[in-house]
Amino acid sequence: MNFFEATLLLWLPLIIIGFGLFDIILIPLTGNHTTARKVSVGSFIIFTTLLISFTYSSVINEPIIYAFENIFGLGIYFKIDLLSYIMMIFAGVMFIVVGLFSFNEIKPHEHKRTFYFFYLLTYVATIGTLMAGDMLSFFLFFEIMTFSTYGLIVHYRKESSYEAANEYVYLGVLGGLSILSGIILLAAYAGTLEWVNLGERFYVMGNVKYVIAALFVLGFGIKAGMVPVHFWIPKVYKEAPFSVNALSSGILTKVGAYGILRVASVLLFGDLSIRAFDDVWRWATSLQIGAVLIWLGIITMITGVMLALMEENIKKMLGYHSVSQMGYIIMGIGVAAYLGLDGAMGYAGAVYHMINHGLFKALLFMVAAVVYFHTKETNMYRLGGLAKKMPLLAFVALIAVLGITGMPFFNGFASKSLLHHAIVEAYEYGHASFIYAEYLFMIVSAGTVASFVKLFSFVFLGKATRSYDMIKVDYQKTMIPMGILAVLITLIGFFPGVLLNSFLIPSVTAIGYAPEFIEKYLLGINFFNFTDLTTMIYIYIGGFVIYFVGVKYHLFHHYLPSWLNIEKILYKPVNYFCEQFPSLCVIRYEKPMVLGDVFIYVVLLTVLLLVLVIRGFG
Amino acid sequence: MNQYPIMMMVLMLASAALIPIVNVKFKQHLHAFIMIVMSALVLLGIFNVKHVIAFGESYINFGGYRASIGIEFYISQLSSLFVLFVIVLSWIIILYSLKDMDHHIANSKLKSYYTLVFLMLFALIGLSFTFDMFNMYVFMEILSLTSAAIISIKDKRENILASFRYLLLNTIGSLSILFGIALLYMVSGHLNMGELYRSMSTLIELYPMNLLLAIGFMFMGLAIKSAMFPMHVWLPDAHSTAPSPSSALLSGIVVKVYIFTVIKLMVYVFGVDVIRTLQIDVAISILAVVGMIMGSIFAIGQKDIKRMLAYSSVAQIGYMFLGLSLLTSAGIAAVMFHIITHGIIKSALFLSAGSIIYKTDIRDLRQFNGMGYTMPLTMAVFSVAALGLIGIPGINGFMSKVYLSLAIVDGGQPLLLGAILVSSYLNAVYYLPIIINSFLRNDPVSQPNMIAEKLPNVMIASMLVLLLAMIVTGFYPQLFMRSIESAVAFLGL
Repeated sequence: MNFFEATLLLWLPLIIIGFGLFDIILIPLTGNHTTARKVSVGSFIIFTTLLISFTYSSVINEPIIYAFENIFGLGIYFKIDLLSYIMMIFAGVMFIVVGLFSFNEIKPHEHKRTFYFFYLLTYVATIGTLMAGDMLSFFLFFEIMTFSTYGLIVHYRKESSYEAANEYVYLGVLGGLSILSGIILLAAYAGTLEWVNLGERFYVMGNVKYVIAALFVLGFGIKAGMVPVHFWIPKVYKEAPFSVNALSSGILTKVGAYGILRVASVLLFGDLSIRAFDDVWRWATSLQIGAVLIWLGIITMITGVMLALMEENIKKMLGYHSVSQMGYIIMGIGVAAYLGLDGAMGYAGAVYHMINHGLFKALLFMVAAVVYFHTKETNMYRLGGLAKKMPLLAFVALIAVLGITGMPFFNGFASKSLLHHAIVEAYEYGHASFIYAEYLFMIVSAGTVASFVKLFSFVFLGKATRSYDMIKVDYQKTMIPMGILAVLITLIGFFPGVLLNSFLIPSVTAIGYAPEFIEKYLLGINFFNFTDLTTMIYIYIGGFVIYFVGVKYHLFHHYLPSWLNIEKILYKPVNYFCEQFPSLCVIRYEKPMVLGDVFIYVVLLTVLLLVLVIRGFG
Repeated sequence: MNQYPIMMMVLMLASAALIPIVNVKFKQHLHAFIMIVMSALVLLGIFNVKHVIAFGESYINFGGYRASIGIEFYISQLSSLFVLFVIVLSWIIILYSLKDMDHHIANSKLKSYYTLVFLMLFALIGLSFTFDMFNMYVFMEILSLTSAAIISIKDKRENILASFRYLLLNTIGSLSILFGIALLYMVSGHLNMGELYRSMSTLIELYPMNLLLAIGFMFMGLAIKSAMFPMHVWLPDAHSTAPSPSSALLSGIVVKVYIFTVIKLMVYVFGVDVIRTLQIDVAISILAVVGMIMGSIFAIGQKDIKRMLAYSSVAQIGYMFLGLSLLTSAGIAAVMFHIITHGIIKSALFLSAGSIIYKTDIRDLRQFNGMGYTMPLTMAVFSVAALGLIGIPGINGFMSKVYLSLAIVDGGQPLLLGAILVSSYLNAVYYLPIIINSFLRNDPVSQPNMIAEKLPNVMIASMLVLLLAMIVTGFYPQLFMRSIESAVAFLGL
């Protein structure tokens, strides 16, 4: 096994990328051999995940770094540490499960080859992004991921798909350029592109560090669905296939949050083994940026859940909930930065929630997909009474709903408790104003409960508004991926400490968070303690109250005033500038410019002579 | 004694004279002759670079006259590298043109075409090496005449109009430069660049107005010739109506040599201090930023693919002037790298556009749906080049953006990064739809599978060579950057 381990340690990134490219190129050549394609895609993902999982014994001690010198002039690095390890395993699981589900959704005559081509390309790009050890390679795989997702979104090839995907990709390009500017500024002012030891140089940079931080947060926020650049999510989710939504919600938006987390932990922490006497100055930046992130997270949470409550289309509603849950994660990252050395709870909560949210959101999209296959309906107000027809589906849906709302013994409870503790710590150890953040946190959690009570009751309970007796119920094959997710949700719910102890606590210890803090609060935490359980009861009661009040007074049918539509404020003007304005320019000005060439030259010459003559007399 | 530059120029001049003798009925003879000459030229270029690196920079004085009376050539590392780039890129484009020109002009005119191209190369090499002001003017005139002729050789109405306008504006530019040279000669009595530099310090004190006028006129002339906004107006017509190999030669090489001349003048004749005191670098940077943005804006509104590529050139030339205005050695190195990168990318774009026109006669961007399925190789080359300009790592366009941005921040103007951001975003706005339309909007009925297109071998070979160059330099930019940086170090900035 030593040879195997040695090879793994030396060449893993090349193996993954090499085989990945080979497999991707193979796909268009598989023609109509469906089974061959399914086998090659599935086996590659499983193979890669297994290979990565074998590195656990090395990773637990210290991160593995693969260096490839001379590429891009400066060399590129791949790094597997505990954070990227767990994210990559999670990504592998998600891609396998969603891939299994997609076999049911992507029918033969609809560009199957192209779909799996982009699917595998997205997988390789995601793994590359998660494994990247320096900013340039990170940026490379991030861009590839953005573009390959475009191919997945336009699967149905309708005009509206292209419109939605274009909005996504232009925002994505903007985000990428924003990140690139951050990288360039960082490289120029810090003098290096490597990720080690940046923390030391970052906090002495002066005001430019806020510009760099803002650029990074904006760029990754676009990918993660942070407010105010979240508006591509509902539009894209409406048009894309359910599998793509599950993938995007489950793992791709998480890569955006992962980016923020990586950048924050590298820039703001640096080499924590060096405890200098000027700790105060170092943490001052971290404090400010962390506080901004916390409030951005809170705003995202609120906006997401409010818009979700008012939504009738299941896909868009789940999309808004993704935005809201990403708000939880961003808030957690904010606490991790804000509390500095004591921020372990926020970090652990954020990463835990990334995994949990991926699991239950993907399951929710799959349930919605099965409902759609049978009823061809995505408007929840027009559905009803499906529990009688499809009891197994309703059961699986119930598991997912309990997960996202945070019911004890399901996975959401663990991560939401951690995040709740995190925000309470921010208030206790930091600024008192975060008490309002905590209140808003509870309100949003109650809102989430209300929203999913609404979804479940309108889709599964009650009387069927149309006669669904005629439908042939057949979703056997979809039960395998859905079942896997449901089992994972329940397992993590019953044994929340397992993930925490095997991955998260070693990860926060390795980054250098204060060990005393970790020991006091995180190690051996009892999730099922009295305070947290009662908090949950209050949230559930609050949620039901909101639901009943909303239904009674028809509050859920209101819409936001149109002037609050961010898409209109931000995107439409830019779109106009980029599409109508050039045509205007060309039509009105091009001909005169081309014909007036001599005139232009004469004018310039006269101006030049005048300037010189005037200066001559001065 | 470094004889290679002279050998190169004699070779081009002699073969230009010999081509009309070759009997065009045996086209293979003509093609073989052309490619043999070009390969010999490439070999000479490589030997020249090796000689300069081994033995250092040198001067060639024609006729043995000393510098102040006679014509002098300065064989520096930077100019040798630039000339090598010009020659190799021309080799690839001429290889492509062997088959493509049949599509555009009659057989009887082929000989004239290659004579003109060889004369143009002669002028390009001379212009890069020359160290004498009037000699520079002479080569510029040869260059503008021959490059106008390779546009109008196609003999259609739009070509003749475009070439006439090109010639008109180029002549105005040349006269402007000549006037500037005359002003300098008037006060210094020197035409040699080295002598001018040595007397520059006295000239500033005695005749500042003359100097200012001279710089103004010369710069205005060179700006017209290198298509800096708003003097770019001849470029869209000229580059879009010309046959594709000519477009590639013009956009990829001819325009660049004028930018190289600007660098030469700024560094060797006037010196960066003079330029900085007169604040010309500020003026250049403002015009460059405007050009970067307006060039892309005009490109978005275009419907014809070659016209859009021409406006894209205007925007990229804005990038180069921006780097130039920094007047630091990092800036000049970034500009040189972008000259080479953009040369490769723009040639790839024009050559693939030319292949599309050759095979399908489609020039309108609205008819590109599914082009990636009928012509996958061509569109692959096009997409890689376009993605390079948008800024995807792994393609050389991205590395030139990085170098330029780093040079800008090092040069103390971080705000200009915003201009690069906006311009890259605008590049995406007009290139992405083409890539999306060609690969993701195919008609499933008529274009179900990607079938490799049947193009003449030389056309496919030249495009693939460019593709390889783009990706290899994208991953290992230091292959070029190291030589460029050591050459720029000689400038002593």
